[in-house]
Amino acid sequence: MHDIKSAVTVLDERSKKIRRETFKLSKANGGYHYGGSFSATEILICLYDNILAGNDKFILSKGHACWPYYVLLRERGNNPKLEGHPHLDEKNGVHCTTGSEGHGFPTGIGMALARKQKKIDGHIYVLIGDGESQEGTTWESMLTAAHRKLDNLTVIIDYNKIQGSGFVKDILPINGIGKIAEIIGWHVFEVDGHSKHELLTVLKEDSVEKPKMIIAHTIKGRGVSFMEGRPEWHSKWPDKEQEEQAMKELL
Amino acid sequence: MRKQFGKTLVDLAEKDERITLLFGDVEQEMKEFIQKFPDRYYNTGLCEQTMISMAAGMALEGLRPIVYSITPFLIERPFEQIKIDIDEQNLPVILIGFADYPTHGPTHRPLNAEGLVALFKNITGYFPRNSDETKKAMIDAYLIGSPAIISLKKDGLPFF
Repeated sequence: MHDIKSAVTVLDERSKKIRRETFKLSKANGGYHYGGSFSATEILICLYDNILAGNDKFILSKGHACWPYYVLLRERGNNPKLEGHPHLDEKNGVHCTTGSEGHGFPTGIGMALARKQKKIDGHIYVLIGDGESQEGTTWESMLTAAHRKLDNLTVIIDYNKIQGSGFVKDILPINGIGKIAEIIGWHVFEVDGHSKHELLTVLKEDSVEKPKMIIAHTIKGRGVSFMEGRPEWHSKWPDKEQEEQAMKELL
Repeated sequence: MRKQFGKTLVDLAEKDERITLLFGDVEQEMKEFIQKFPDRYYNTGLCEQTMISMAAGMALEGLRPIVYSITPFLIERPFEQIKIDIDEQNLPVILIGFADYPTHGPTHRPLNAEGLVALFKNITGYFPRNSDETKKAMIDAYLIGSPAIISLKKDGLPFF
């Protein structure tokens, strides 16, 4: 198991700001799912600030982490529909309707294959959850992407160890998913998913004739002390006091 | 009917290079397509749900995917993928299934396909019963460019 250094990774001002904006935007629009939003924040920041360019596309397959995604899209002049899970809206940077788990990964495969067929460049990035990794389509997709040698596809797993009703290890563990992916024919990397340096290093790594999987070890609810590693914050609504404390910690 | 299906598929693909074929381990009617367009077909193996989402991803990249399987495996098994990825996103994907396996037992018999297809918002359903209707349905679905489900069954076969 990868050594999780996340707890000692200091969140920089950019990371805190995106979390504060996430809080405000979701509150104003009746949203929640802070746990999975905050575990995915650095992954999303790295993609939008440093990686996505030109013809690249990103799919947020774990659609419930939509609020930091909307914050980053809006920063770039987009105006996505602000609902609890993303709607397809290509003009505003949303390339796939997601929310029901296990759809974004195979959709990304279709995109990557189409680009191979049409000889078009650009990379497809898909972010999935660890709970989502239990879905049958995740495993079908792992087989398919490796078989098709999709080196224009990168799948990132936000491995925050917690899903809707508890800990992944107690419900249906996905232990060994990286090893299995490697055996099937993926390039697999494991990183601290809150370390921008580690994330960017592997995101920039070439993966010739193989799809790339990045297992990003994260902490659910990262950045807010009372949410970190607590399953109830998958979708709990904070009261006024909790909200104030969260905002204070994120300053 | 099957021959007509294979022939119309090739005719459409010759006119439009965006036409791309996906099928799940059933290929008897598609030999000519495979031979003529080796870079535009994908036998996705036995993963119908992934196959539907893949077709949606291809349509989002500007292709015109046609997905082929046996009707219950095409519509019922990946029902939610059709609902969200094809119907909700309103993508030009044509799903074509054969429903003429009356002696194959319950696994190969669809529920009322007409009833299922009627549940969708954007998908047009076609239920041809002979070769002419098959050709007409395929061309019509292609020209309209909205999502479509075509379930083929020979005239005279019972409804299940």
